[in-house]
Amino acid sequence: MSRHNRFAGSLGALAVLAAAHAQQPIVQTVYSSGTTQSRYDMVILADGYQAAEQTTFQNNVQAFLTALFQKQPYATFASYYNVHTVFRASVDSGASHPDANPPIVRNTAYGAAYNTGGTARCLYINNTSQALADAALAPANEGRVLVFVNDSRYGGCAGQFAVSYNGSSMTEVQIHEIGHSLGSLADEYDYPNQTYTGGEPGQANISASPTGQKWSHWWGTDGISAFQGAGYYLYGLYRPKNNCLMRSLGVPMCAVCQEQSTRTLNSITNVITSTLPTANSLSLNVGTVQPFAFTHFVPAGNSPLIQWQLDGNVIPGATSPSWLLDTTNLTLGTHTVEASVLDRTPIVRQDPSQTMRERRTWTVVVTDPNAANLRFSALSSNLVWVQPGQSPVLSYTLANDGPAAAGPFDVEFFLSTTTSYDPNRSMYLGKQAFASFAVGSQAQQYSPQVPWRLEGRVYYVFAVADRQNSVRETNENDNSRYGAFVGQAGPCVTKLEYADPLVYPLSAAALPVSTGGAVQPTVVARCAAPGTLYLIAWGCSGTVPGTPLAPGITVPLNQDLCTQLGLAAVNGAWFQNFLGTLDAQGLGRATFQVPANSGLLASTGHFAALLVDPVQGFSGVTNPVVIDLQ
Amino acid sequence: MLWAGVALAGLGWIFVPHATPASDALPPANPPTAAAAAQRPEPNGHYALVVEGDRDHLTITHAHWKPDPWAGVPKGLTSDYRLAVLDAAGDELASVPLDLSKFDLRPEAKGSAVRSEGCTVLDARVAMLANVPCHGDLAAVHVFYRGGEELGRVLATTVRDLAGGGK
Repeated sequence: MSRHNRFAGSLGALAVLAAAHAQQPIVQTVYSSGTTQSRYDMVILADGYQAAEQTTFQNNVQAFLTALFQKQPYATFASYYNVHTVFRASVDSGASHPDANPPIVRNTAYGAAYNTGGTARCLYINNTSQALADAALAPANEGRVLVFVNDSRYGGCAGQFAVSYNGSSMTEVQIHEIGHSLGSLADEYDYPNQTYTGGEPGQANISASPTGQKWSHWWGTDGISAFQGAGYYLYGLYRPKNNCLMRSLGVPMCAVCQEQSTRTLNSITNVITSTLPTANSLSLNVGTVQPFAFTHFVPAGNSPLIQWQLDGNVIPGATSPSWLLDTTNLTLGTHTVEASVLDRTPIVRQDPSQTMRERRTWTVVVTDPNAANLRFSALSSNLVWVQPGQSPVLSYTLANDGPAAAGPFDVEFFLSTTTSYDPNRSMYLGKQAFASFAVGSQAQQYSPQVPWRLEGRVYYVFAVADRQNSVRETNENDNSRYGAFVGQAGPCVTKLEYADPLVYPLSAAALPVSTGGAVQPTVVARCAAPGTLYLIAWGCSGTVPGTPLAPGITVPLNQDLCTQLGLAAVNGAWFQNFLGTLDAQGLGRATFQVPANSGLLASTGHFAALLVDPVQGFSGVTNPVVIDLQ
Repeated sequence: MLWAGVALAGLGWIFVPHATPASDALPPANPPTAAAAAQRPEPNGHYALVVEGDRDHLTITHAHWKPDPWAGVPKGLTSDYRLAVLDAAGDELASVPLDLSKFDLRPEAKGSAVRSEGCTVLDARVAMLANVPCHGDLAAVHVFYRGGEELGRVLATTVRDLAGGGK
């Protein structure tokens, strides 16, 4: 091969390489404001531009961006955008004109053509798959893609793509189209002689309401009212302003359209960029002072409002991008720190999705090397079906995760009819005391007697550790565990028990005579005849031998002055409902009320109840229960 | 006693931890994977996916891996359609609502030609970009849903191959 031929051969190879290279899309970032994670990444494609026309495309893009960022709301938020272009050279220049005579057919990268859907000026692309694959080459995207088509015939259309020709009205057309594509705005122009009869449109800028209720917050501003003729209908649909870019080229966007476009933009951008700490969860020893800070790019002209919150409570006066958390007085365990910045631009007046507020949240676990952490890892019962008065064995495993030992504290047990317990309402099943609890787990058992007034229904049993908060714990919110069992109908017994919160065992109660108080002795006689009378008597002289009432019926109280006092004042202020009739459930609920400084002496006595059948007379007696006046 | 057995099953004779305020339901059949989630590595960048199909079937036709972190779901975006990234155990690593508002998803429009109204285009064929976090080898499958109805699934290995492998 001659020297000339080798050179020619090399040129041929280069030409092939160049052709191949020309077919590869060229990705450029032509406008950069910040990270792709924080900004709106606009992607612009070229169609109908031959390889030699790449400069034309870049000039079109620059002209468009210059115009875009001079218009509101884009001018205010210009720093919210990154713009990337992807240039794939087309074989032919221009777009197809299938409605021309004869039709013009162009071989372009994405098949741009006029007359899409039968609308002559609707210039759109057909090879959306290739267009999306190319758009995905950009460093980032937000889903919607702009396309410039190298053709001088007026046209444009919007869907997933916002497409515009590159003639003299290019910038206006494209800004209108991105109003559809990026802002989800409707066309506000109308066609003659059409009347809309449908429901309220979803778009922000057209309404079936003759007053334009959906933009009522703009009434009277910027000429906003309600003008008939919008969304391709001459009648029955209304637009916010007489004229707007979504109706005619060459005019600004109205306030309603600007607001919607701004909300959409801000729904995608993340205006908080960097944070300190960078991790969103951290563990701090109590007493630590931790700085928190963030940076944001809300324009100063939009009066950004910064707030800091700790556990949902706004920190007064904390309105700068940095704040110090002093953990000295915080409870141990998990806390939440939230920073937020609200963009108060006058462009947005209503923001139901809070797109204009950006938040960052940190989870802070405050620990103490001298604290413990109690939690239950297991709880089970040997009985699934439980009768009144039975004593199921509750087996549980209590763990102390440390690092310090815990104690003293109590593990308490409650019965509830819901999946939460209330110490002032739930049935109390007593407690186990722990003087000290080393780091580690311990298996324990407890067998409380359930109340005689237990009903046939589902009950939830709660084990609660350190309800009094006497142990300093890393996490105070994991100190209980519950499970369920089924209460069964009880045997035909006649019992007296206390039905007071936090009183256990149910057969003994105490009252301080100095401050007074009240307890609720309750008769349980499920099988007694309706209307059966009950009488609760008081005795201070023991229960044996008791007082015989009838053959086989002995009240377990020795009569004395207490008995006489109780009977004399029955159903008075001190002995409320001590004489009454059983309710439909066979229960008789009484209250023993001792006022403060009543003059009663400290003593230990008993209550016991007897039943009087209206026909048979004395029909039963209960067990005695202790009443300890202290 | 059949009813009793049913009642016991319903009660779940397993005692469960109780947080304050009480919010614990009886445990699900599959234990919660919060702990497992906490141990997962952070997503490694994100995928820009080309999603194509129609109202009843969706698939992924192109994928590009991006080193930048996923920017998250737009504030306020809700959709019946979503793309879930599942791990091998079937747990969701991510669930991303899909904004199909620019497409004609009416059942009667399926298979029809592109329509235009004014200068807006309504196409029953779905062709869109979707961004999802990249969970690397943890991801097993990408599944499209409309409500609870599955509309298509693409193996994560296929997505990785579309993206040129490696991620």
